[in-house]
Amino acid sequence: MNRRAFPVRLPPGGIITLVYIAFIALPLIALFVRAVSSYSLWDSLTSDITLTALRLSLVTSLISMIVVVGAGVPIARYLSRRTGPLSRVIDVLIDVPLVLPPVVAGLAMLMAFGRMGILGDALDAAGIRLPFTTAAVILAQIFVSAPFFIRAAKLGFQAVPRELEEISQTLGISPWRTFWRVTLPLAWPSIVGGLALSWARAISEFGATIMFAGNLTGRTQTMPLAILSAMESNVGAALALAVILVAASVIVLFVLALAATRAAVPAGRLE
Amino acid sequence: MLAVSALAAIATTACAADRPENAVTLRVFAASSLTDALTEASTAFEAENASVAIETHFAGSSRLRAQLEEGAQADIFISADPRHVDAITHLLVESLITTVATNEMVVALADSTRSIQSLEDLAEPDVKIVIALPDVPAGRYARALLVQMARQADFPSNFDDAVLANIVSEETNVRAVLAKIQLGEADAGFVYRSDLRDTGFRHLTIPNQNPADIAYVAAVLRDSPHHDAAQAFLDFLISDEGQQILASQGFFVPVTATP
Repeated sequence: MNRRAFPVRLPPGGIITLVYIAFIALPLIALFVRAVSSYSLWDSLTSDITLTALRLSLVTSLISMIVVVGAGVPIARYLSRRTGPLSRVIDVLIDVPLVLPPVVAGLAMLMAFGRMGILGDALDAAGIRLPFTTAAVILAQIFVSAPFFIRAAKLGFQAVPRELEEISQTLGISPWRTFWRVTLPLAWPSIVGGLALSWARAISEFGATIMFAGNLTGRTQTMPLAILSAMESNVGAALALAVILVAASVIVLFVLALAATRAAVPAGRLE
Repeated sequence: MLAVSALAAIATTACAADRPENAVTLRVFAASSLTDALTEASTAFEAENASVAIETHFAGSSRLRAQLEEGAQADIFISADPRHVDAITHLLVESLITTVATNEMVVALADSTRSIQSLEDLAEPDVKIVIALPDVPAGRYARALLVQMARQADFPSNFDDAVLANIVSEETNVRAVLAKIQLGEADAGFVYRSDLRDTGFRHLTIPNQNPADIAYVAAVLRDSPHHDAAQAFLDFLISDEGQQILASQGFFVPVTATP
């Protein structure tokens, strides 16, 4: 509001925002500058290891998100209607993976699903061996990323006025159809926002993966693991991988942000 | 940001509070396999030198080298592979480069794995093997030994390829390899003899190793402001007491104490 006044004044919040943006942007800009000035950037970008890791990261995180959304929407919807003490306990339990250091999450998954784990013998009898497989990568991603989605989706569902759903049903519209035409569109921005956070966590997942799934090119070596592995031999290659991961992530986050705003429009039309 | 640094400063001084005012803190970057031995040696050294504190930082030697190349501040670098020292001699005080110990590779076996009785069994299908990344010393040594074994008459000529095909994970340091064996998730892993100390692991020895091949080379960083203290610590490592500590942790210490 004081934009045109002299001297230029920013509210305190604006100044802190600028400092914060600089704090976040500077390392990222430095990463790009160093990567671009590295003579091996192009070779690294197109190397087999990079492309294999990128493909594995995208495929595993996509599968994880299908599972997270498929299970997360009903869970979030269910929890959004509950208020008793038990549901509060469940809320906390669902958030537990958020506070676990990822390595601990990986260790815990080994204790449960590993060869020596609680379910190890049962899984083995069924012919299922999880550690060191791509399936383990996906399970690790789901474990650490699902809470972000469930939290956001639950808040989204809670924000939907109950009356709207009730009106819809008194008009003879089935609960299922009401969910699709009323509840889901209204909660959509929260759901997509939660999906973005959850996906970001899944694609950057590292600690639980290296613990539970190991590190093998083409099978379990996702981008973060490839970056760490490249660090052992060639910082230039690690930088190139990092730049690709950041670029891919920013693109996906923008697409999701766009999806969140677009979808808010038809929701308004329903009223 | 000031508040963050202030808090960080409080956090660090709180730990160093029992040290004299003029204390020197030596930051030592050392190979993962030295974790136990160097921690013990540091404690012994600090007990004799009240004015020096040792701060150890353990990782795969290749990573430590990359960090030093990127300008990480350290006073001493101890690599499990002379190559990583040779590659950055421009950052080091060349006259102070010292070999402090040597080691050899073994194959650690998980408790649960009874099917592996000999090295040849490592080439059997469905064996899960963990190894360090090729650029990590323990990974490079292990791969070189596999090639060497494949050339020997006791092993099939495709022995190395068959074993490499059984690898389920490549770890960033040798202790991570050991952890996977300890957890029982992998059947076998290539680690150093010194890593087995106190763990009671069943293991297979690898024949025909040249004892000088796996050498731990220590060097003082040129940029270190504490050359004297750093040299004193290196001297301690090759003294009788230092060498006894390394030997008790399973390292070979052919290095004789220098005057």
